[in-house]
Amino acid sequence: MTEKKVNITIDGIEHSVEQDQMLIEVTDQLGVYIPRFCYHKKLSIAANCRMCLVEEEHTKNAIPACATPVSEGMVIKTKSKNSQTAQQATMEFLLINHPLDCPICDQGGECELQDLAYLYGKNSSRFDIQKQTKPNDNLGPLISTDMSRCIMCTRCVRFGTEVAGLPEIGTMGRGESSTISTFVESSIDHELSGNIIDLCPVGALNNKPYRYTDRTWELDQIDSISPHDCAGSNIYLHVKNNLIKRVVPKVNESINETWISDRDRFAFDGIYSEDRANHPLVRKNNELTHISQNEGISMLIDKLQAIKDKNSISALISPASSFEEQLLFSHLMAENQVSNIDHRVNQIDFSGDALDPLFPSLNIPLNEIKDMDSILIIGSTIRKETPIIAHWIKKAADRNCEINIINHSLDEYHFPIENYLLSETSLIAENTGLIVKAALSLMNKEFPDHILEHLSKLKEPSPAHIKTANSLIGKKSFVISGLVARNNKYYSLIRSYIDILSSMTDSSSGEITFSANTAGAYISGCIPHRSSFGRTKDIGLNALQISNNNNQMLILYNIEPDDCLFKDELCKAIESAETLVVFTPFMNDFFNEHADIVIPIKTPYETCGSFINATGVLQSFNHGLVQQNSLQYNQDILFDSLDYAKAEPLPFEDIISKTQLFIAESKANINPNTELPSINPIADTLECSNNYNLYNIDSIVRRSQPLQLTKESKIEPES
Amino acid sequence: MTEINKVIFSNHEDAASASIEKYISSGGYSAWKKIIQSSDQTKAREYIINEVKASGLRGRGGAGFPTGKKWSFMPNSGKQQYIVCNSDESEPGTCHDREILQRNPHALIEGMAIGGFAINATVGYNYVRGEFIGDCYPQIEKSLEEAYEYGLLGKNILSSSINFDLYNYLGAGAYICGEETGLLESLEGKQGKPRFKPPFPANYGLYGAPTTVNNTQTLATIPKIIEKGAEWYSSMGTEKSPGTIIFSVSGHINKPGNYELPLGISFNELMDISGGIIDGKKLKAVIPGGSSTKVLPADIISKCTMDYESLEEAGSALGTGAVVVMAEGTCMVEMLKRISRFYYAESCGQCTPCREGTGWLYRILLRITEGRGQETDINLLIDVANRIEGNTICAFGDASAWPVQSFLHHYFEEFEFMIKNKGKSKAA
Repeated sequence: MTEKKVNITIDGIEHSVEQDQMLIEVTDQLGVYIPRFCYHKKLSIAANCRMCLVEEEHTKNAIPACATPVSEGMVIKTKSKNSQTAQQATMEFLLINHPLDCPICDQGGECELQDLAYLYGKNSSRFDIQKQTKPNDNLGPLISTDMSRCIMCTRCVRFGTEVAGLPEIGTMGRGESSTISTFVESSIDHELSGNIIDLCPVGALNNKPYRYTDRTWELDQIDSISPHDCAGSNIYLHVKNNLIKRVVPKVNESINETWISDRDRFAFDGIYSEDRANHPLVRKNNELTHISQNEGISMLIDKLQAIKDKNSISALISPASSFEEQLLFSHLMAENQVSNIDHRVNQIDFSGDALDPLFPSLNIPLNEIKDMDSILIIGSTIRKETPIIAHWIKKAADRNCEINIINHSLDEYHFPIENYLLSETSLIAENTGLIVKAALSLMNKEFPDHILEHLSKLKEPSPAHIKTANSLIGKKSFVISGLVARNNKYYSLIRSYIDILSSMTDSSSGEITFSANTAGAYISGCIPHRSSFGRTKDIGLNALQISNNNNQMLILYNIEPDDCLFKDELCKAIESAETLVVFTPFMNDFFNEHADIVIPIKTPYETCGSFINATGVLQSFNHGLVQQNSLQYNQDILFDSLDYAKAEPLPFEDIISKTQLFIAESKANINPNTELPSINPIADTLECSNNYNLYNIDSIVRRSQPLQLTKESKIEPES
Repeated sequence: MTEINKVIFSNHEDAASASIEKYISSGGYSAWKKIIQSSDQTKAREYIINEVKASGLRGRGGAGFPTGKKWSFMPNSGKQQYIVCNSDESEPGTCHDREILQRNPHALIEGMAIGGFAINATVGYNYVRGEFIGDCYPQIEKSLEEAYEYGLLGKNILSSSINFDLYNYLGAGAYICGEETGLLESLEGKQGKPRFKPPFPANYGLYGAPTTVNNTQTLATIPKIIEKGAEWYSSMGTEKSPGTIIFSVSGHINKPGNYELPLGISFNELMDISGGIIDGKKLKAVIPGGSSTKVLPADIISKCTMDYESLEEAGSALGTGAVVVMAEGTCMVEMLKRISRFYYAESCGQCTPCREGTGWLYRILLRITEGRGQETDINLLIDVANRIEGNTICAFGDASAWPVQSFLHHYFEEFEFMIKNKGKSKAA
């Protein structure tokens, strides 16, 4: 495909540029700056601010660069008197009703209007009439409004319609009394809504928790990765005096574009909660008393090594911990012959462990989701689980990708859904099986007899199953499962069905996982059935068995009971364990009452490490600046523990490149599994509910005050 | 004496002129029936467009774009295409479409059917000004029902393969919805905010489909052109501005009203027809084509003929043919303030210059008339108007700037006088 080229002249220099681009795109690529407010490359063109007016030699009036496609022979003069007159005119009009409150405006210093006013504005105003003021809306706990500052660029409105997909704000009134507002006063609740703070070129929409706290030019910027879901959104931490003041998105076109979820943006507040664990503690006479870090470590290792029955030692580590911590922790356990290690505190069906991939993954890059023609989502409340992945699915839907869903709850989605197979939790597996059966009847493919036999025992698929199966055939299709499926009693069966379905229909398939680093937990060997990098080992107890085990010692690394799907079981284990050791950033009632050794650790916002996201991308972060307390880095605590335990040192220098090689090799050798779980799961008495909403999914989010004030956090858990 | 009311208002005097029987008895729907019965539809389409081109009919909504040419832009996309009638008549001074809707609604219905057929549109919408809810809207709704009863609209009209469905749609009262893309937005159920062009409606119109928007008067003229031929129509008026136009004459005039007259009659004759200036006063100034066209002082307008070319040459425009007559003694500052208030109130608020500038203009004029004017205000007015003109998505910005520019051009000393004399009018 050859792009058609046109010749245009910009400021006296001739360029040959691709056709069908807007002038502003061309000048941006060429590094010629044209001022703008309403234009944003991720949003549709509004052409309403009129700041980008430039002179074109053959046109009488100045043309808006954002809305004028380049055409042959155009002669653009971005710096001419006519261009400047038009731009200065717009600037004057924008400023006449804009309040002069820059000194108290949080946008000051990073305000597009302020910046451009220096270039195109006058020293004094010719407008000596009273300025307009506009009423402020209460948009909820996350976004502050100062609507008198609004310049009506409508970026936020277009974001709501085009990106968020559920318009929550719009323009109201006309002429000078136009305002941006919710129609009936209400909060803005969309999980991506915080992005309008970044989009707003002025101080009309701002970060409410950050309001009046600091000036932007005093902040340092640190690259980071959001630790709250498996998308691995790139973020910047804005830091002053070693404290995080706010979080903003960092552009990564293949992961989060320019967006982050509200969870990524506001969750960090949780690390400043009052129940941070700040001192190593040990229980003496039933009282937790301060000890030194070294004492804590030595006590732990001494006790651990004193226990003869290694099967009565169990360890649980969070999938939100960094890969390096997981690797060192699993190594520490392995070196001490502890095989009861797991991170899967949100799973109750482990019958498919033998069929586990080396690590769970979506198997395609996030930015390829948008190119799909058909997507089937099984057992996922995807907007809450991973707002950014849901956003990529919306982008596919915008291209008319057909979306089908099997889930237990009927949620509001920002994309149209073709077939919504609303299914009781216990029937998600059966419904998935029926789609497999329907697909089988539509395809002529050889499959092993025992699978055919298994499918023949299922009831007949309904028209909705057949339509859903049919939509996957002969197209670029993608089958994706989520946290609801992971929680499910028949998780292994669902996953096998998905594997069979995807190999039957030549679809891609994959899984959305808990927290930022489930993939890392698999690779680092924080699972009972495999050692690090997929090596075999003696199979230990899984997370659920650990909770029901007679533990002489239970070690929890960054795990709280609230993180756990089988919270009651885990609490019993906490109570019954002879020795409870917790590595934790936060204290809670259970730890206060039952922990015998407490070793405080840093949260991912304060430490260094890497996360492996849902598509197997390893991303590292280093937060040298953000020191909540004088604690050691988590990795160093674990190194010290290994030293004290006289463990074989772990070769750590090239660990990142080694891991990346491992990921690349495993991706290249994906053998689609077409087996069913070895033991058919028997419905046991364990009743678990999906006890998370958007804002209780991990220990930091649960402690973030702004997020806990949102409507979403008030939603009762499903039962 | 020029003959009046030859085309659209040919049955104007009859009290029952709106009824379908009356319309049919005077030759109405014969053009439409002839088209329906034509054996070759492609040829019939070509014939209509050529005939309209030959008639020289130009859009009567204000811009004066040749109608036949506009229709020829419409593609045959094979998908749903639309014809939309702009009955959102809101230009101050203009009131002829209202009269068409009330007195000769079937001419419009027939014109839309013919136009729709010519441009491959099987669905038409008549977007009626919100304020017409009381009188025009019930009438045009009733007439539409009649047309359906007579089988002249709908599917397989008169057993042919031709389909045309027409709907009336009542606006909510916004001047800006008279701008064709603002109208289309409003018709889609959105806020009436004009779209950036290109793409023009012929490529991307209602619901993104090819659409032509024509004015009420333009469409109501079509049946007679098809019935009696382009030659008959173009025999009236001038060579470059053929045909007739309805002048809405208002202001200091003895017989204000709507007069359908051939284009190119002299301004003085128009004054005679509409009864001359009240109280035998002298003429001071005229806004010849609705409030957004530039004002012309008596000595200039008196030499003009009422057609596109002559008025353009004089520095104004024929616009909608709304002739606002101002006798001596009229305070031009007050007049401009009133006009500016209108544009201030009606700006859609989308583009910065218009949203912010119209209010600024009005407030400066307000303080001048209240005796608080400053010496710098005149230059400020001109500068603000110049900074709005040409810098907005639609022509509304220009429409708000032109009156300011022209009033200050011709009556500078009245503004100066009022500012110096703390609000005292020079005209009084």
